Amino acid sequence: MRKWLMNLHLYGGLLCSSYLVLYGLTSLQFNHAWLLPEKTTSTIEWSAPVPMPSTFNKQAVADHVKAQLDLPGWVHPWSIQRDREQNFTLEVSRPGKHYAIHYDPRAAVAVVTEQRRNVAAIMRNLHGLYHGVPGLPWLRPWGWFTELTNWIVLLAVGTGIVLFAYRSRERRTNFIVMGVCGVLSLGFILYIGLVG
Amino acid sequence: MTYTIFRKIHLYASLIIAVFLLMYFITGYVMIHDQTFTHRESGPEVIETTQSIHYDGAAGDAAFADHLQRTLGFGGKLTGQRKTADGWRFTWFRPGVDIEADVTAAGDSVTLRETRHDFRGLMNGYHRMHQYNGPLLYDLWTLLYDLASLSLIVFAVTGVYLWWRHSRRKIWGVLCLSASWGLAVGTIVYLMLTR
Repeated sequence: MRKWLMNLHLYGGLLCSSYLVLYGLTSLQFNHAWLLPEKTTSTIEWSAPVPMPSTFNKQAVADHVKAQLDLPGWVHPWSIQRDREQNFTLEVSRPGKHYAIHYDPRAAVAVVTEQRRNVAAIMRNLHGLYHGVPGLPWLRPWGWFTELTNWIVLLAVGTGIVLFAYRSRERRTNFIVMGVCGVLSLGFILYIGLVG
Repeated sequence: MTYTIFRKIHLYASLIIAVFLLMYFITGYVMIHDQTFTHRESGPEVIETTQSIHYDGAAGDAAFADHLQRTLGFGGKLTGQRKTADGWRFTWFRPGVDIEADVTAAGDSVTLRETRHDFRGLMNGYHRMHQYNGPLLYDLWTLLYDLASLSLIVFAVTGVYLWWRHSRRKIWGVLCLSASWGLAVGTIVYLMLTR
Protein backbone atom coordinates (compact mmCIF):
# COMPACT_ATOMS: atom_id res chain seq x y z
CA MET A 1 0.00 0.00 0.00
CA ARG A 2 2.75 2.42 0.98
CA LYS A 3 4.66 1.63 -2.19
CA TRP A 4 1.58 2.29 -4.33
CA LEU A 5 0.97 5.61 -2.64
CA MET A 6 4.64 6.53 -3.00
CA ASN A 7 4.57 5.73 -6.72
CA LEU A 8 1.37 7.70 -7.20
CA HIS A 9 2.86 10.67 -5.37
CA LEU A 10 6.21 10.42 -7.15
CA TYR A 11 5.19 9.77 -10.74
CA GLY A 12 2.11 11.99 -10.54
CA GLY A 13 4.36 14.80 -9.36
CA LEU A 14 6.89 14.19 -12.12
CA LEU A 15 4.12 14.07 -14.71
CA CYS A 16 2.81 17.50 -13.79
CA SER A 17 6.15 19.06 -12.79
CA SER A 18 6.30 21.34 -15.84
CA TYR A 19 2.79 22.64 -15.16
CA LEU A 20 3.64 23.25 -11.50
CA VAL A 21 6.64 25.36 -12.54
CA LEU A 22 4.50 27.23 -15.08
CA TYR A 23 1.73 27.77 -12.51
CA GLY A 24 4.28 28.94 -9.96
CA LEU A 25 6.08 31.37 -12.27
CA THR A 26 2.95 32.86 -13.82
CA SER A 27 1.22 33.21 -10.43
CA LEU A 28 4.26 35.07 -9.11
CA GLN A 29 4.19 37.19 -12.24
CA PHE A 30 0.67 38.42 -11.40
CA ASN A 31 2.22 40.19 -8.38
CA HIS A 32 5.72 40.85 -9.69
CA ALA A 33 5.51 41.62 -13.40
CA TRP A 34 9.30 42.12 -13.65
CA LEU A 35 9.81 38.38 -13.07
CA LEU A 36 8.45 37.46 -16.50
CA PRO A 37 8.11 40.69 -18.48
CA GLU A 38 5.62 40.44 -21.31
CA LYS A 39 6.73 42.01 -24.58
CA THR A 40 5.73 42.33 -28.19
CA THR A 41 8.58 40.80 -30.16
CA SER A 42 7.50 41.81 -33.66
CA THR A 43 4.74 43.68 -35.45
CA ILE A 44 3.84 43.13 -39.08
CA GLU A 45 1.09 44.51 -41.24
CA TRP A 46 -0.59 42.61 -44.04
CA SER A 47 -3.80 42.76 -45.97
CA ALA A 48 -6.11 40.20 -47.52
CA PRO A 49 -9.33 40.23 -49.54
CA VAL A 50 -12.48 39.67 -47.51
CA PRO A 51 -15.80 39.61 -49.41
CA MET A 52 -18.67 41.75 -48.22
CA PRO A 53 -20.75 39.96 -45.55
CA SER A 54 -24.45 39.23 -45.96
CA THR A 55 -25.29 41.15 -42.78
CA PHE A 56 -23.91 44.28 -41.13
CA ASN A 57 -24.54 43.09 -37.59
CA LYS A 58 -21.30 43.89 -35.72
CA GLN A 59 -20.68 40.47 -34.17
CA ALA A 60 -21.61 38.66 -37.42
CA VAL A 61 -19.23 40.86 -39.43
CA ALA A 62 -16.44 40.23 -36.92
CA ASP A 63 -16.98 36.46 -37.12
CA HIS A 64 -17.11 36.66 -40.91
CA VAL A 65 -13.82 38.62 -41.12
CA LYS A 66 -12.07 36.25 -38.70
CA ALA A 67 -13.28 33.21 -40.65
CA GLN A 68 -12.28 34.69 -44.01
CA LEU A 69 -8.82 35.56 -42.71
CA ASP A 70 -8.56 32.09 -41.16
CA LEU A 71 -7.30 33.50 -37.87
CA PRO A 72 -7.26 31.33 -34.75
CA GLY A 73 -8.31 32.85 -31.43
CA TRP A 74 -11.11 34.82 -29.86
CA VAL A 75 -12.80 37.96 -31.17
CA HIS A 76 -13.01 40.50 -28.34
CA PRO A 77 -16.66 41.69 -28.46
CA TRP A 78 -15.79 45.04 -26.84
CA SER A 79 -13.27 45.79 -29.58
CA ILE A 80 -15.77 45.64 -32.47
CA GLN A 81 -16.42 49.16 -33.77
CA ARG A 82 -18.19 50.49 -36.87
CA ASP A 83 -17.59 54.01 -38.17
CA ARG A 84 -19.89 56.23 -40.26
CA GLU A 85 -18.45 54.89 -43.53
CA GLN A 86 -19.36 51.35 -42.39
CA ASN A 87 -15.72 50.37 -41.90
CA PHE A 88 -15.10 47.96 -39.06
CA THR A 89 -12.28 47.58 -36.55
CA LEU A 90 -11.92 44.57 -34.33
CA GLU A 91 -9.34 42.68 -32.32
CA VAL A 92 -8.62 38.97 -32.26
CA SER A 93 -6.15 37.31 -29.94
CA ARG A 94 -4.82 33.94 -28.94
CA PRO A 95 -1.88 32.93 -26.75
CA GLY A 96 1.20 34.48 -28.34
CA LYS A 97 -0.53 36.66 -30.94
CA HIS A 98 -2.71 39.71 -31.16
CA TYR A 99 -4.41 40.92 -34.35
CA ALA A 100 -5.85 44.41 -34.80
CA ILE A 101 -8.03 44.38 -37.92
CA HIS A 102 -9.39 47.23 -40.03
CA TYR A 103 -12.02 46.03 -42.49
CA ASP A 104 -13.41 48.02 -45.39
CA PRO A 105 -16.42 46.03 -46.73
CA ARG A 106 -16.85 48.17 -49.88
CA ALA A 107 -13.24 47.65 -50.93
CA ALA A 108 -13.51 44.05 -49.63
CA VAL A 109 -10.11 44.34 -47.94
CA ALA A 110 -8.96 43.74 -44.38
CA VAL A 111 -5.72 45.25 -43.13
CA VAL A 112 -4.26 43.26 -40.23
CA THR A 113 -1.67 44.50 -37.73
CA GLU A 114 -0.24 41.32 -36.26
CA GLN A 115 1.74 41.40 -33.02
CA ARG A 116 3.79 38.45 -31.92
CA ARG A 117 4.21 38.14 -28.12
CA ASN A 118 7.13 36.68 -26.20
CA VAL A 119 7.36 33.40 -24.26
CA ALA A 120 6.38 35.08 -20.98
CA ALA A 121 3.07 36.20 -22.51
CA ILE A 122 2.43 32.71 -23.88
CA MET A 123 3.15 31.16 -20.47
CA ARG A 124 0.75 33.57 -18.81
CA ASN A 125 -1.96 32.70 -21.35
CA LEU A 126 -1.41 29.00 -20.70
CA HIS A 127 -2.05 29.46 -16.95
CA GLY A 128 -5.26 27.50 -16.35
CA LEU A 129 -6.18 27.35 -20.04
CA TYR A 130 -8.72 24.55 -20.17
CA HIS A 131 -11.24 25.15 -22.96
CA GLY A 132 -8.71 25.42 -25.77
CA VAL A 133 -8.55 28.10 -28.42
CA PRO A 134 -10.78 28.19 -31.52
CA GLY A 135 -8.74 27.23 -34.57
CA LEU A 136 -5.85 25.70 -32.62
CA PRO A 137 -6.69 21.97 -32.33
CA TRP A 138 -3.24 21.06 -31.01
CA LEU A 139 -3.90 23.08 -27.90
CA ARG A 140 -6.59 20.63 -26.72
CA PRO A 141 -4.06 18.37 -24.90
CA TRP A 142 -3.09 21.38 -22.82
CA GLY A 143 -6.66 21.47 -21.49
CA TRP A 144 -6.39 17.81 -20.48
CA PHE A 145 -3.04 18.59 -18.87
CA THR A 146 -4.68 21.40 -16.86
CA GLU A 147 -7.37 19.00 -15.64
CA LEU A 148 -4.84 16.27 -14.86
CA THR A 149 -2.60 18.64 -12.91
CA ASN A 150 -5.53 19.77 -10.78
CA TRP A 151 -6.36 16.20 -9.80
CA ILE A 152 -2.73 15.22 -9.29
CA VAL A 153 -2.16 18.11 -6.90
CA LEU A 154 -5.20 17.06 -4.86
CA LEU A 155 -3.93 13.47 -4.87
CA ALA A 156 -0.38 14.53 -4.03
CA VAL A 157 -1.54 16.39 -0.93
CA GLY A 158 -3.57 13.37 0.21
CA THR A 159 -0.88 10.79 -0.50
CA GLY A 160 1.78 13.09 0.99
CA ILE A 161 -0.12 13.21 4.30
CA VAL A 162 -0.49 9.43 4.41
CA LEU A 163 3.17 8.94 3.51
CA PHE A 164 4.52 11.14 6.27
CA ALA A 165 2.10 9.51 8.70
CA TYR A 166 3.93 6.21 8.04
CA ARG A 167 7.13 7.65 9.48
CA SER A 168 6.64 7.23 13.20
CA ARG A 169 9.77 9.25 14.04
CA GLU A 170 8.41 12.51 12.58
CA ARG A 171 4.69 11.82 12.70
CA ARG A 172 3.86 13.83 15.82
CA THR A 173 5.81 16.95 14.81
CA ASN A 174 4.47 16.85 11.27
CA PHE A 175 0.87 16.54 12.36
CA ILE A 176 1.32 19.44 14.77
CA VAL A 177 2.89 21.65 12.06
CA MET A 178 0.22 20.70 9.54
CA GLY A 179 -2.61 21.06 12.05
CA VAL A 180 -1.55 24.49 13.27
CA CYS A 181 -0.83 25.82 9.76
CA GLY A 182 -4.01 24.24 8.39
CA VAL A 183 -6.26 25.72 11.07
CA LEU A 184 -4.63 29.15 10.71
CA SER A 185 -4.91 29.08 6.90
CA LEU A 186 -8.50 27.89 6.92
CA GLY A 187 -9.41 30.45 9.57
CA PHE A 188 -7.79 33.19 7.51
CA ILE A 189 -9.55 32.12 4.30
CA LEU A 190 -12.92 32.06 6.07
CA TYR A 191 -12.27 35.37 7.81
CA ILE A 192 -11.42 37.11 4.53
CA GLY A 193 -14.49 35.62 2.83
CA LEU A 194 -16.98 36.26 5.64
CA VAL A 195 -15.72 39.43 7.29
CA GLY A 196 -12.99 40.90 5.08
CA MET B 1 22.83 15.20 3.68
CA THR B 2 21.54 17.10 0.62
CA TYR B 3 18.83 14.46 0.21
CA THR B 4 17.65 15.03 3.82
CA ILE B 5 17.62 18.81 3.37
CA PHE B 6 15.65 18.56 0.10
CA ARG B 7 13.25 16.11 1.69
CA LYS B 8 12.63 18.42 4.65
CA ILE B 9 12.12 21.42 2.36
CA HIS B 10 9.64 19.39 0.26
CA LEU B 11 7.83 18.14 3.37
CA TYR B 12 7.65 21.32 5.43
CA ALA B 13 6.80 23.57 2.48
CA SER B 14 3.79 21.32 1.85
CA LEU B 15 2.78 21.08 5.51
CA ILE B 16 2.86 24.85 5.91
CA ILE B 17 1.14 25.91 2.70
CA ALA B 18 -1.05 22.85 1.90
CA VAL B 19 -4.44 24.33 2.82
CA PHE B 20 -3.78 27.60 1.02
CA LEU B 21 -2.51 25.75 -2.03
CA LEU B 22 -5.54 23.46 -2.03
CA MET B 23 -7.76 26.54 -1.93
CA TYR B 24 -6.11 27.78 -5.15
CA PHE B 25 -6.53 24.46 -6.93
CA ILE B 26 -10.15 24.05 -5.80
CA THR B 27 -11.11 27.62 -6.76
CA GLY B 28 -9.22 27.16 -10.05
CA TYR B 29 -11.15 23.96 -10.69
CA VAL B 30 -14.47 25.79 -10.17
CA MET B 31 -13.30 28.49 -12.59
CA ILE B 32 -12.36 26.12 -15.42
CA HIS B 33 -15.53 24.05 -14.91
CA ASP B 34 -17.66 27.15 -14.74
CA GLN B 35 -20.70 25.57 -16.41
CA THR B 36 -20.80 22.60 -14.01
CA PHE B 37 -21.70 24.83 -11.09
CA THR B 38 -25.17 26.34 -10.80
CA HIS B 39 -25.67 29.90 -11.90
CA ARG B 40 -27.98 32.11 -9.89
CA GLU B 41 -30.65 32.88 -12.49
CA SER B 42 -31.53 36.24 -11.03
CA GLY B 43 -27.91 37.43 -11.09
CA PRO B 44 -26.07 38.76 -8.06
CA GLU B 45 -28.06 39.84 -5.01
CA VAL B 46 -27.93 43.62 -4.51
CA ILE B 47 -28.74 45.23 -1.17
CA GLU B 48 -29.01 49.02 -1.11
CA THR B 49 -29.33 51.22 1.96
CA THR B 50 -29.11 54.96 2.50
CA GLN B 51 -28.20 56.49 5.81
CA SER B 52 -26.90 59.70 7.30
CA ILE B 53 -23.33 59.95 8.59
CA HIS B 54 -21.17 62.40 10.46
CA TYR B 55 -17.49 63.04 9.72
CA ASP B 56 -15.33 66.01 10.71
CA GLY B 57 -12.55 65.60 8.09
CA ALA B 58 -12.60 65.93 4.28
CA ALA B 59 -15.20 63.62 2.77
CA GLY B 60 -13.10 62.52 -0.20
CA ASP B 61 -9.98 61.19 1.50
CA ALA B 62 -8.83 57.68 2.36
CA ALA B 63 -9.41 58.27 6.08
CA PHE B 64 -13.04 58.86 5.21
CA ALA B 65 -13.18 55.45 3.56
CA ASP B 66 -11.87 53.94 6.82
CA HIS B 67 -14.45 55.92 8.75
CA LEU B 68 -17.22 54.57 6.52
CA GLN B 69 -16.07 50.99 7.02
CA ARG B 70 -15.84 51.38 10.79
CA THR B 71 -19.13 53.20 11.33
CA LEU B 72 -21.18 51.19 8.84
CA GLY B 73 -19.51 47.92 9.86
CA PHE B 74 -18.40 46.21 6.68
CA GLY B 75 -15.10 44.70 5.62
CA GLY B 76 -13.21 44.52 2.34
CA LYS B 77 -10.29 45.97 0.47
CA LEU B 78 -10.61 49.54 -0.84
CA THR B 79 -10.32 49.27 -4.61
CA GLY B 80 -11.27 52.75 -5.77
CA GLN B 81 -12.28 56.26 -4.80
CA ARG B 82 -13.26 59.01 -7.21
CA LYS B 83 -15.16 62.24 -7.40
CA THR B 84 -18.57 62.07 -9.05
CA ALA B 85 -21.07 64.75 -10.09
CA ASP B 86 -22.91 64.41 -6.76
CA GLY B 87 -20.04 63.73 -4.36
CA TRP B 88 -17.67 60.78 -4.05
CA ARG B 89 -17.78 57.10 -4.85
CA PHE B 90 -15.80 54.51 -2.91
CA THR B 91 -15.56 50.83 -3.85
CA TRP B 92 -14.44 47.84 -1.82
CA PHE B 93 -13.97 44.20 -2.57
CA ARG B 94 -13.83 40.95 -0.70
CA PRO B 95 -14.31 37.45 -2.17
CA GLY B 96 -17.88 37.16 -3.44
CA VAL B 97 -18.89 40.70 -2.44
CA ASP B 98 -18.51 44.13 -4.10
CA ILE B 99 -19.40 47.19 -2.06
CA GLU B 100 -20.04 50.63 -3.50
CA ALA B 101 -20.64 53.76 -1.41
CA ASP B 102 -21.94 56.99 -2.92
CA VAL B 103 -21.35 59.88 -0.54
CA THR B 104 -23.04 63.25 -1.00
CA ALA B 105 -20.88 66.33 -1.62
CA ALA B 106 -21.73 67.60 1.89
CA GLY B 107 -20.49 64.29 3.30
CA ASP B 108 -23.61 63.81 5.42
CA SER B 109 -25.32 60.93 3.63
CA VAL B 110 -24.19 57.66 2.10
CA THR B 111 -25.88 55.15 -0.19
CA LEU B 112 -24.35 51.74 0.25
CA ARG B 113 -24.78 49.06 -2.45
CA GLU B 114 -23.63 45.57 -1.55
CA THR B 115 -23.49 43.13 -4.48
CA ARG B 116 -23.32 39.51 -3.36
CA HIS B 117 -22.20 37.05 -6.04
CA ASP B 118 -23.00 33.34 -6.17
CA PHE B 119 -20.66 30.44 -5.34
CA ARG B 120 -18.71 30.83 -8.58
CA GLY B 121 -18.22 34.52 -7.90
CA LEU B 122 -16.94 33.69 -4.42
CA MET B 123 -14.43 31.16 -5.82
CA ASN B 124 -13.39 33.59 -8.54
CA GLY B 125 -12.85 36.29 -5.93
CA TYR B 126 -10.63 34.07 -3.79
CA HIS B 127 -8.60 32.99 -6.80
CA ARG B 128 -8.02 36.40 -8.33
CA MET B 129 -7.21 38.38 -5.20
CA HIS B 130 -3.62 39.57 -5.36
CA GLN B 131 -1.41 42.72 -5.55
CA TYR B 132 0.34 44.37 -2.61
CA ASN B 133 -1.62 47.59 -2.14
CA GLY B 134 -2.95 47.23 1.40
CA PRO B 135 -4.53 46.99 3.84
CA LEU B 136 -2.31 44.77 5.97
CA LEU B 137 -4.74 41.86 6.09
CA TYR B 138 -4.91 41.70 2.30
CA ASP B 139 -1.14 42.14 1.96
CA LEU B 140 -0.79 39.11 4.23
CA TRP B 141 -3.10 37.25 1.86
CA THR B 142 -0.92 38.30 -1.09
CA LEU B 143 2.18 37.14 0.76
CA LEU B 144 0.60 33.71 1.29
CA TYR B 145 -0.36 33.71 -2.39
CA ASP B 146 3.28 34.36 -3.30
CA LEU B 147 4.44 31.60 -0.94
CA ALA B 148 1.94 29.17 -2.47
CA SER B 149 3.19 30.09 -5.97
CA LEU B 150 6.82 29.71 -4.91
CA SER B 151 6.05 26.39 -3.23
CA LEU B 152 4.86 24.96 -6.56
CA ILE B 153 8.31 25.58 -8.04
CA VAL B 154 9.94 24.22 -4.87
CA PHE B 155 7.82 21.03 -5.01
CA ALA B 156 8.75 20.44 -8.65
CA VAL B 157 12.50 21.07 -8.19
CA THR B 158 12.91 19.19 -4.91
CA GLY B 159 10.58 16.43 -6.12
CA VAL B 160 12.71 15.79 -9.20
CA TYR B 161 15.87 15.72 -7.08
CA LEU B 162 14.32 13.35 -4.52
CA TRP B 163 13.12 11.00 -7.26
CA TRP B 164 16.56 11.00 -8.89
CA ARG B 165 18.26 10.07 -5.61
CA HIS B 166 15.55 7.75 -4.37
CA SER B 167 14.71 5.67 -7.40
CA ARG B 168 16.94 2.89 -8.73
CA ARG B 169 14.97 2.25 -11.93
CA LYS B 170 14.66 5.63 -13.53
CA ILE B 171 12.92 4.73 -16.75
CA TRP B 172 9.33 5.52 -15.56
CA GLY B 173 10.40 8.77 -14.02
CA VAL B 174 12.27 9.78 -17.17
CA LEU B 175 9.17 8.97 -19.22
CA CYS B 176 6.91 11.04 -16.94
CA LEU B 177 9.33 13.97 -16.96
CA SER B 178 9.75 13.80 -20.73
CA ALA B 179 5.99 13.71 -21.28
CA SER B 180 5.49 16.65 -18.94
CA TRP B 181 8.22 18.92 -20.24
CA GLY B 182 7.76 17.76 -23.82
CA LEU B 183 4.11 18.82 -23.72
CA ALA B 184 4.87 22.16 -22.07
CA VAL B 185 7.78 23.10 -24.34
CA GLY B 186 6.00 21.66 -27.39
CA THR B 187 2.88 23.73 -26.68
CA ILE B 188 4.90 26.93 -26.28
CA VAL B 189 6.85 26.26 -29.49
CA TYR B 190 3.59 25.41 -31.31
CA LEU B 191 2.13 28.76 -30.24
CA MET B 192 5.27 30.58 -31.29
CA LEU B 193 5.40 29.00 -34.73
CA THR B 194 1.77 28.70 -35.84
CA ARG B 195 0.17 31.49 -37.76
